[in-house]
Amino acid sequence: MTTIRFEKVSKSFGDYNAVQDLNLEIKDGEFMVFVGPSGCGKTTTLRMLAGLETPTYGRIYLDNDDVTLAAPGKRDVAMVFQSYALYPHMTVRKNLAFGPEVRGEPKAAIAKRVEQVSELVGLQSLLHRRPSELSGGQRQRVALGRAMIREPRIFLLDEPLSNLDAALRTHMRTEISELQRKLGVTTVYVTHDQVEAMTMGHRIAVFSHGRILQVDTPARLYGAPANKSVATFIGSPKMNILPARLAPGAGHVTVNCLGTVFTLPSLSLTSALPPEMIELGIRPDDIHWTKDAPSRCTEKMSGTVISLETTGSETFVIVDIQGVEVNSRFPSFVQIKIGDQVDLLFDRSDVHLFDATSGDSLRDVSSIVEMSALSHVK
Amino acid sequence: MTEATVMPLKPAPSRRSGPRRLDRPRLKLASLFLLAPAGILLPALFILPVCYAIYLGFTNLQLVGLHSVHYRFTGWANIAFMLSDASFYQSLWVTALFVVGSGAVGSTLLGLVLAIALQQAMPALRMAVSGLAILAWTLPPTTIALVWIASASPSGPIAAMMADMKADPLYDHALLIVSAANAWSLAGLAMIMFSAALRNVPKDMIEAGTLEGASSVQRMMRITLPFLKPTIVTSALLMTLLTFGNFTLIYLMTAGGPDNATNILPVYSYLEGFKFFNLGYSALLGNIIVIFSALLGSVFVFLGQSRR
Repeated sequence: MTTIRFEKVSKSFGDYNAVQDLNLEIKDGEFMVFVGPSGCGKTTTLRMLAGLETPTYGRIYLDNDDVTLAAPGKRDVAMVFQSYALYPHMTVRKNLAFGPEVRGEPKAAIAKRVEQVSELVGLQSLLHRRPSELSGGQRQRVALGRAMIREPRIFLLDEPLSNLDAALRTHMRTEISELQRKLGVTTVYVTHDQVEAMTMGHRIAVFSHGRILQVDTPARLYGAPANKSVATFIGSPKMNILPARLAPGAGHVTVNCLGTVFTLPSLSLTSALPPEMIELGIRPDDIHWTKDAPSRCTEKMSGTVISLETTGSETFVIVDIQGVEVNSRFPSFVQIKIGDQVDLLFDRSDVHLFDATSGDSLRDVSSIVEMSALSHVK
Repeated sequence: MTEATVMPLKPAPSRRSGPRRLDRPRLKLASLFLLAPAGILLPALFILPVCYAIYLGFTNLQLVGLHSVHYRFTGWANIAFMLSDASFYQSLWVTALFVVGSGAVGSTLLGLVLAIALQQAMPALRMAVSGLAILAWTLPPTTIALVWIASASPSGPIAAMMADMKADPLYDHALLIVSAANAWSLAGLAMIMFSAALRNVPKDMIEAGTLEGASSVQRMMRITLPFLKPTIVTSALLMTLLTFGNFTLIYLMTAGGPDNATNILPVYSYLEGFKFFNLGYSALLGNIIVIFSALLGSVFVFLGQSRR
């Protein structure tokens, strides 16, 4: 139905560049998530797409229509606001019917559509209530229903779950994903929560300081982050970033990280002449306790336990290795305490190498994905 | 309740059966002493004079002459006179027109329009216009009266706008002109109230309306104005109260004339007491004003509470 295309879009507020030179294509029917810390430009980008902000430079296309300067009401987009933005003086029914009414659609058609949509989002029994008489989750549903009643070209959702409690958030996550799948409308979803992004998005655009760092599927973002910022933003707990040294050899490179030395085939690197000082990234999930490690893990590091964090199903153990803190995942049954000496094992194919200055990934992304990524995504 | 009717003979539980409750209000003797000044001054300076004024409304007190000293209680005589007094009914009607037209509707509408027009204006223009509106509100009534007498006199700006330099708007349309002067002087206050309320209209609610395709008129009528409804009610009532007591402006501009055209109750009461020396009857008219003011005030308080 509708594809979205950003072409060299920038937005400045005074001297502040909120979005810089953004190029992005969103496919028809895709669930695209914009994720990033606050102030990274993701909401501004969404508002430009809605028409609530005018880009300073660049073009925005829906299909092949240039909508850069089109009025918000003429774009046929529907948006769910973080605050829901329900009209407090109207009942749920009136809230749902407001859009079709101001657009002058026939009354009978509106009534029918209200019934349909309220059934779809489970609001039939609440149509006569006002927003102040609804719970957070119900308000959320009204906001969703109001967006759906239009049958818009695209859905825009701006942090719609951030005002809900944790349990409801998880529930609504699935509900929104399912609605989107049922309706098949191209959707852009903004969030600062990487778990939301990973679980909901077909593709994710990671924003930072007004730029897109990487646009990819959740699996590839996790398994093959294009740079250090993406690597540390995606995944919980955060990826360990450790100092390392690289020495080139014949057909391979030797990596020395905190006393652990291993080799990698040169072919798996993006550059033939990598820098000597690099940063090595490895997720806590990929560092194993010696007695619990898969046989493919051959590289060993040792250190002292300095802190424990139990989640129930597993224990995250922070180990001091030559003065560097390394977070690692232990099975929950392990009896260890602070001050213990532990050995950690990892598989060299699980490591990510980053340029120490630019933060760009040095490993050939395609090779990593084949090896590890798909098996890790939950 | 039902338990009490079923077992009427059961004694109430003794106070000493349990530990003493600590959260009951307790009386300290010192507090009586500290309250004493207010307890004496309030009745002496407020309640007694009010009661005395109410009493005077039922006497034949005069400002000068025989009944200025030897006045007596006359019972219903003043009320009977008032009910047959054509000027009283005329005054009641003029008061209603003035209070509702100029106060409740006029100044509120003017303030609302000003606030909405200035909402999106350039900051410098907004500062200038709201500054002027507030200035109009803070001006002393004498200045307001002079400004409007000058404007509405023959060959003044209003006559010029009517393209008839011989016209005398203040004489021909006295009630309209004093109403305009009153609305003009109160609009600044209404505008401040509406500006504050407009700032509280959630921006994303308006944006949601824009995205739905609502035109600016539809957004105003269907989102902004309903949102402002409580403020409109508050403003209308406050303006009513302020207009009701606006004796000075009318007295200075027209002194109730011409031919009682602007003779609102406070002016009529003043004229009866101090021009025609009927202090007793004047006090009765004052009592009527107090009753109306009290009613308006109670509505104001009631609406203010029920919204919370």
